[in-house]
Amino acid sequence: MKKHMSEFEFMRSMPFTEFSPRNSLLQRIEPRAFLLSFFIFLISILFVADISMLVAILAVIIIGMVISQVPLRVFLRGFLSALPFILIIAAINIVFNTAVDSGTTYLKWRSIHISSADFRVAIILILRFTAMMLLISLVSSTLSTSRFIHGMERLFSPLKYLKVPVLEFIIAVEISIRFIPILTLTAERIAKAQASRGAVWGSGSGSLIARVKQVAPLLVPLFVQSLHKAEALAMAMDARGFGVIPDRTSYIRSKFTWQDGLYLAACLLLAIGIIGFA
Amino acid sequence: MREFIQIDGISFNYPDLNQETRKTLDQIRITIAKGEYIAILGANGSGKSTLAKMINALLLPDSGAVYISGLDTRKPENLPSIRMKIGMVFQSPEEQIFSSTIEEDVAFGLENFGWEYEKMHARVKEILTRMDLWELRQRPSYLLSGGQTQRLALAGVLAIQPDCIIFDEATSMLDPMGRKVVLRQMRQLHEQGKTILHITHSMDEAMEANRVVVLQVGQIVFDGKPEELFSGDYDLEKWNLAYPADKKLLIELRNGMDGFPRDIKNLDEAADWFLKKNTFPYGMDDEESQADREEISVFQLRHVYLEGTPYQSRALLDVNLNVKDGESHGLIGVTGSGKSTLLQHLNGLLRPQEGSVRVGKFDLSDRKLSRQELVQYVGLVMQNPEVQFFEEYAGDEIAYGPKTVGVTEPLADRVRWAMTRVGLDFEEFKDRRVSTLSGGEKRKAALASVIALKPEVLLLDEPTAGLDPAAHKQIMQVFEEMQAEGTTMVVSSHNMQDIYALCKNVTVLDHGTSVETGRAGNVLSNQAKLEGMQLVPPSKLKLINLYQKKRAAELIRREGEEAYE
Repeated sequence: MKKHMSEFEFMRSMPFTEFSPRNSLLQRIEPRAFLLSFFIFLISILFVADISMLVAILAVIIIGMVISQVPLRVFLRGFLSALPFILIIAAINIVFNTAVDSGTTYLKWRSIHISSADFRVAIILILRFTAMMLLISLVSSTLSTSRFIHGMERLFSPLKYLKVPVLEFIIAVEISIRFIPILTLTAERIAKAQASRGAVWGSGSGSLIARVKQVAPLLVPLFVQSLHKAEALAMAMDARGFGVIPDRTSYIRSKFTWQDGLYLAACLLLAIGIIGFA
Repeated sequence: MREFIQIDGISFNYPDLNQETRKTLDQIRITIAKGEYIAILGANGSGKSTLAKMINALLLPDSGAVYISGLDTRKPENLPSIRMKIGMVFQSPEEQIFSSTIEEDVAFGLENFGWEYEKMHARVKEILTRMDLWELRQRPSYLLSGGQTQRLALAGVLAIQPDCIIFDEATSMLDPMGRKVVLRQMRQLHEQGKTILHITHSMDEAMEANRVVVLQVGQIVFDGKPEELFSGDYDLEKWNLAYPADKKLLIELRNGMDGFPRDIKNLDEAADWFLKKNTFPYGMDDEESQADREEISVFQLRHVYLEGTPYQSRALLDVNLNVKDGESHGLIGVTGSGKSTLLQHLNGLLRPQEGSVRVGKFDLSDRKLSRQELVQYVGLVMQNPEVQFFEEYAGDEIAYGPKTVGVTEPLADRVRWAMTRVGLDFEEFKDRRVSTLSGGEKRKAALASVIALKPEVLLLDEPTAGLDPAAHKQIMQVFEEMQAEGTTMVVSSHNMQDIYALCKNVTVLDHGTSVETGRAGNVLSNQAKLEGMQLVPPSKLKLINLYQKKRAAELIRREGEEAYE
C-alpha cells in the first residue's frame, strides 16, 4: 500500500543545508580564503563559454567534492530536483535559439532552425548550471553558517570605514537564516488550523483569484507572528547587551596562514589558466 | 546606601496607548535586596512585564527613577553595567536564540560585553557543560529538542553571570518537565545568592518564592509572603488570581464543612483530621457510561514525520483509542509522546500511514474522504488557536468556517449560535476587533470559530495553556457545559485538574504508544506514575489517596493491637 503523504509537511521543501563537521581538508581552509575561492570559480563558470574548459572546471569541482567527504546524495538531491528545469531550458534554447545559426543544419521549418551550434549552446548551458549547482552545494555543505558569516564579516569589514554597518547587516543575514525553519513550522501550523476550519488546502487547483484567496488567511497571521517574533528577538538581543559597548569581541578567531594563501593562489592560477586558455 | 534594586515611584505609559484611560505603571515604589526570590503576579495587562523591562533598562520610566546598585537606568553610560547585572529570560525559548550554532549563541552576550577570546571560550565551555549541552555545541540550534532549546536560552543569559535574573513568564509555554527544570534552576541560582524575579500566572510556582508582589492595573496591591497571600484573607478573584490547587480544595472543604479547622495547612493534615473524625466526604465514583456506540476507534496507529529527511521523527508507534458517543476522553503524556499527532489524525489533518482510524462513519484511510465533510463532523481546536486569527473582526473570524464549507442556514444565524454557545454576546462582540479582546475572550472566539461548523466531536489540544487564572476559569466553564450537554470530546492537557474535571476516561501516551486506558479517577490517582511524567495529580485524588493509605495503616495498627491484647 502506498503511504499517505501529508500535504502539511512544509519542512520537506525547506532549502536546508546539510552541513556537518567532517574534518576534511576543505573545512580547514580559512573562511575568507574559502569564500574568495568560491567567488573565483563562480566567475570562471560565468565567463567561460567553451565546452572543454567547463568540463575542466567541473572536474575541479568534482575533485573538491571528493575531498570534502560530503556524501554524494547531498549533491544529488539538489542537482536532481533542478535537472528537469535545466533540461527544459536547454530544449527551449535548442528550438528557439536566435543566435547565429552555424554548422550543420539538422532541421529547418518556418522560423525554427536547429543546427549543431544550437546543441553546442545547450550543452554549455547544461554544463554551466550543473557546475554552479554542484559548487553551491559544495560550499553550503562544507562551510557552516557561522563560518560563512564570520568569513563574510571579515571580508567586508573594510567597508566599515565607509560607514557601512557591516556587523548589523551580517547579523540580519544570520537571523534570517535562523528564522527559515521557525517560520516554516509556523506556516505549517497555520495551514493546519485553517484546514480544520474547512479551508481546502494543497489541491493546487482553481483560478488565480481563488488561489490568492486561499493564501491570504495564511499570510496575515504569518506576517503578524513574524513581527511578534522579530520584536521578541530584538528585545532578547537588547537584554543580552547587544550594542551597549562599541568594542564587541568575537568568539570565532580565524587566522589567514601561508597555506591559505597558497590555496588561494592555486585557485586563482587555475581559474586564470582556464579562462586564458579559452 | 541604596538597595540593590530601587524603584522610586515610577509611572509609565506606552506611547500608542490612550493617555486618558489608565497608566501601564502608576507610581510604583519598591525595593529589592540582593538574594531575594520574588514572584510577581497579576492578570494580563497588569504591568508585570513592563515593570520587568524597567529593571534592566529595556524601557525607561516617564517619571520616577530606577536604580540598580545605585546606577540610574536613565543614564546611557550606566547601560553596560546594568545589562551585565540584570539578565532576562523570556517566554518563548526559540525567540531568544540568534546564532547559527549553540556555542556561538552562548557567546553572543559575552561578545557584546567585549570578553577576551580565551576567557570567553572557557566561560562558554563551563556553562555548556553545566547545562549538559557541551557535546552538542557545534549543532545548528534548529535541530535541538524543546528541552535543549530551553536550556540553551537559559545558558545564553547565565553566561553573562548576572546578579539578578528576571524570568518573564519563562515557564508559561513549557510542558511540566520543562517547568520543573526551570524552577530547579531558579532554586539553585537563588541558593548561589542570585536575585530571582519570577513573573508567572501559576500560583503553585509563586509558592516557591519567598516574597510575592501582586500588580493590578499598574499598581502594587500586595507585597508579602506567599502563605499570607493564600491564607484566605484576600479577595484573590478581584486581582484575577486563584489559589494553588491544594489550597483551593482546603478552602472549599472549610467553606463546605462544619468544623473543618482553619489552621489545616496541607492535604496531609486534612487526611489526618478526617481519619480522627472517622468521616470522609469523597468516594470513588463508579457509574459506567451509558452509551455503547463507538464514536472513535483508533487501531495500531503509526506515524513518522518527514520520512527520509534530517528532521525525520517517529511520532506514533502503536496507538489504540476507543471513545464512546457522548464521552469525554483525556489524553495525557509528556511533550513528544504523540498527543497532538493523534488528535490531528482524528480530523484528517494527518492520515494513517499504518493502522486505522475511524470517526463516526468516516474511515480516515479512505483516499476519497473529503476533509471538508469530515471537519464538519470533528472539530479541532489547536494549541494557542488565537495566534492564527486573520480577520479583523471577531464575527468574520467565526464566520470563516461556515462560509468556506457553505452552510445552508444564514451565516449570521450560525455565527450567533456559535458565539452564544461559548458565552460571547453576539451584538456586543461581533464587531469587536480581534486584537482588542482579552485572553479569555480570544480563546472563546477561537472555540466559537471551530464549533461554528457544528461538529459532533470536539478535539481540544491544550485548551487552557497560556491563560491567566480568570480566563482559565471562564473557558473551563464553557467546556464543562458542553460536556454536560453530551458533546463527545477528546482533550489533551498537561493540567490534571482540568482533565479530572472534564474527562470520564483517560489514555496515557508514552513515546508514541498508548500504554494505559482507564477511568480518570483510577489513572489519575496513580501518583507514582504521574510523577514519572512530571504531572501533578488532582488535589482531590491526592487527598483520597492519602486518606485511604492512612486508614489502611490505622486498621493494620488496630488489628495488631487487638491481636496483642
